[in-house]
Amino acid sequence: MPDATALGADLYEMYRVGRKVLPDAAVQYSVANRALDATQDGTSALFLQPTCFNGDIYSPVFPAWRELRDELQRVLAETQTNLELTGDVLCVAADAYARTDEAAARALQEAKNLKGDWPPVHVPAPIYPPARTGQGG
Amino acid sequence: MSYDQLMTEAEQIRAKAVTTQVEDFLQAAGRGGALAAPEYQRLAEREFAHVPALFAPFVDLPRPAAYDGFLAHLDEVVGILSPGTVGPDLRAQNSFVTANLLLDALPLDVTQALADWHGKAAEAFLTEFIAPFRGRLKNQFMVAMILRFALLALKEIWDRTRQDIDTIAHQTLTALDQMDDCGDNEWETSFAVASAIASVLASPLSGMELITVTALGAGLSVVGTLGPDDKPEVKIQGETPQVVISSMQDAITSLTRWVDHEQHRLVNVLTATHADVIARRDRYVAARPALVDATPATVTSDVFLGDNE
Repeated sequence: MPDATALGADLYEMYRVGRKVLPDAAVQYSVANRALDATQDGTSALFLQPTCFNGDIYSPVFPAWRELRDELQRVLAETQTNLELTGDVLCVAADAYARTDEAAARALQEAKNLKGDWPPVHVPAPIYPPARTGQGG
Repeated sequence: MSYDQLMTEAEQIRAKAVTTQVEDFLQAAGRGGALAAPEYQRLAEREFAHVPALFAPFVDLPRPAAYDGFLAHLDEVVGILSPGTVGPDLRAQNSFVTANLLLDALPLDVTQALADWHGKAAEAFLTEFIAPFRGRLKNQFMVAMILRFALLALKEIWDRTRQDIDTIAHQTLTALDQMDDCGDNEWETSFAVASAIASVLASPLSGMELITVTALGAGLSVVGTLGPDDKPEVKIQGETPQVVISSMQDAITSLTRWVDHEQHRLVNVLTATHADVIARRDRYVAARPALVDATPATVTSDVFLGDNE
């Protein structure tokens, strides 16, 4: 095992990743997801076409585009969740290790005092695409 | 005249075809033809009454500008997921997307921070989630680019369809006007819509990432939507109003087939991409890390973070 100061430094790095780095990345995915979600409104109207094409009021591109858009949205939501939950666990872990070693706990606190601490990062809830009921839904 | 006056042009075509047809009847009938002029007029009116209806569906083509709001949202998605990329033409404006430095820096930062933790889940997190993070980010970026490309291409398809239907109307009017002139009465140009996708692929920030996705090469070729006569050309010709209007009708039919063809090429690309995301999902999103299942009581065990050394 390393000495308490080295352990404290490692715990600080674990805490920093859990408290700041991964939540910040989760927020990036959340922002991307919200921008993608903004394309939900009015999508069916965007793909309306005269029926002389394909005999359908909707472009054939519509279902294919929406299916891929929905899939990307799920991918972004899952990535966001993975980043956020892992960050939570790392914060819990840093705390759990600190509780087992008083000197390491002091070193961790000193590192926070010296290098800085962060307020909790607010990560909005991930957005998933709605259940589909029909072509225009 | 432009697309906005399409139905005005359609009515001009109808009226011109009727006038020309009546003139032809009168000329063929000779001196006694004048008495039958009302009947000739009635016959010609009936013959070409359908002309405006051929153009009517094209009045409600989607507005290209309607896509701009959606494209702005996709630009934001693309900007966040960007690993940094450059378009094919650096002289063009907006020919590159800068990398998202925050996401780009994440793998190295996390790897260094957690390097001394050797529990099973900690090591799996680094090798299975963090190490491939940038690769997955790039794959997510490419999916966003394909969604963006499809909308850009569809916007271009409708913009060019507007040009093409207007060209058909113009050339029909010209052909009707010049039927009696010497020489071939044949007016031919390419369908603009037939190169809609190619033009988007060649534009900055649309094509360059797509060519890296092998599925798209096959996806962009599609068979079955065009017949052997569907050359990418508008050809209006004839020495009588019937023949000119008939060639106009053929051109309109061919235009609709080209629009369907170009749309199906996009469908193929989107469908192939979606199938790839489903079939090889781990290339786009990591499985839930085992680390996430740790509790305060178990997180320090060898199953999760383990010893620090």
